[in-house]
Amino acid sequence: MPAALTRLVASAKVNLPGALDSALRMEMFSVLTEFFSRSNCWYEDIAFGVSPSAREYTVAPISGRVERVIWVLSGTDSPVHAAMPAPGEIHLAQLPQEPATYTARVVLNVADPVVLPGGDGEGYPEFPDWVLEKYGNGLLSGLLSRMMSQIAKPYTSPTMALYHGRVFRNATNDARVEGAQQNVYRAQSWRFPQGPMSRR
Amino acid sequence: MALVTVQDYVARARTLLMDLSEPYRYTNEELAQSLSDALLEARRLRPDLMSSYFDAEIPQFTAADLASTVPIDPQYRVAFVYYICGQAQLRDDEDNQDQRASLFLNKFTAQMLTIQS
Repeated sequence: MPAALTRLVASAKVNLPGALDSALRMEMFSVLTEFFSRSNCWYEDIAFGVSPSAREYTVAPISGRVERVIWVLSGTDSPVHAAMPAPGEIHLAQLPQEPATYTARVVLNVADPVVLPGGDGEGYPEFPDWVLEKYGNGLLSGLLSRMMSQIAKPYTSPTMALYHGRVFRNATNDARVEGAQQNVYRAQSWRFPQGPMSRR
Repeated sequence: MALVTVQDYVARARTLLMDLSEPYRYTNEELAQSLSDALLEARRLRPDLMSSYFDAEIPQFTAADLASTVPIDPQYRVAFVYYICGQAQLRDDEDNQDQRASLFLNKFTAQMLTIQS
């Protein structure tokens, strides 16, 4: 387990007297699912071969699962109209004119199964370490919010659940904006005119 | 003595019940059964404690299972001792025993649901 995750779990236990490890692992999966789904900050560029005879292709990430597609580029880096009716299935709007290698940028999310090393119960899912290092406090608040909103537990606290929920949503919004701007400070002002970028 | 096996729970409960000399007032069978009941009660009050048994039978212990491990998170093991004691004292008729039974059972519930110790 990465050091940042160890620290996060330890902080959660300090804030949640009586919490069980299994409950923390279960809720952490939900927190990460919501975080990555809303922020789009974890993505992968996946190359896939196309031929003039097919419009439907499947892409598979190295880790995690595909949540949605951001864009598809042709072999000449031109934007290609495409949709993803089901996660991982890319449907091109038009048949390719020639065999080529297209690139799809897909948003990823945590995936099942997540099992402990000994196979005994649920573990923590795989996701990039930098996410935890950068948004650890926000993810911790997400975990605390979900745990404290459970009913009839020693750590139940609707008030604190609301507070931590707000902190988590703020962190998720920060991750979404910074991810869209590729972690570039004041990236928006560098993009004028933005017409070509928004078409992508 | 760590609370790990059924024997550990039975022994700890006997201390609180002042039942340390043979012949015992409460048999091993009765106390083991009370421990089994506590697991069922924990499943109702704190499903997360018994999440590994969502798709399986919750263990039931008898006097033959004294060496068996009780699958409970360390944070909540003492509460189970209180439940065993409460169940044992429920069978007594005297008023003061009823009060002790209520005290033990309420203590178990409180420890399951609140920070109270």
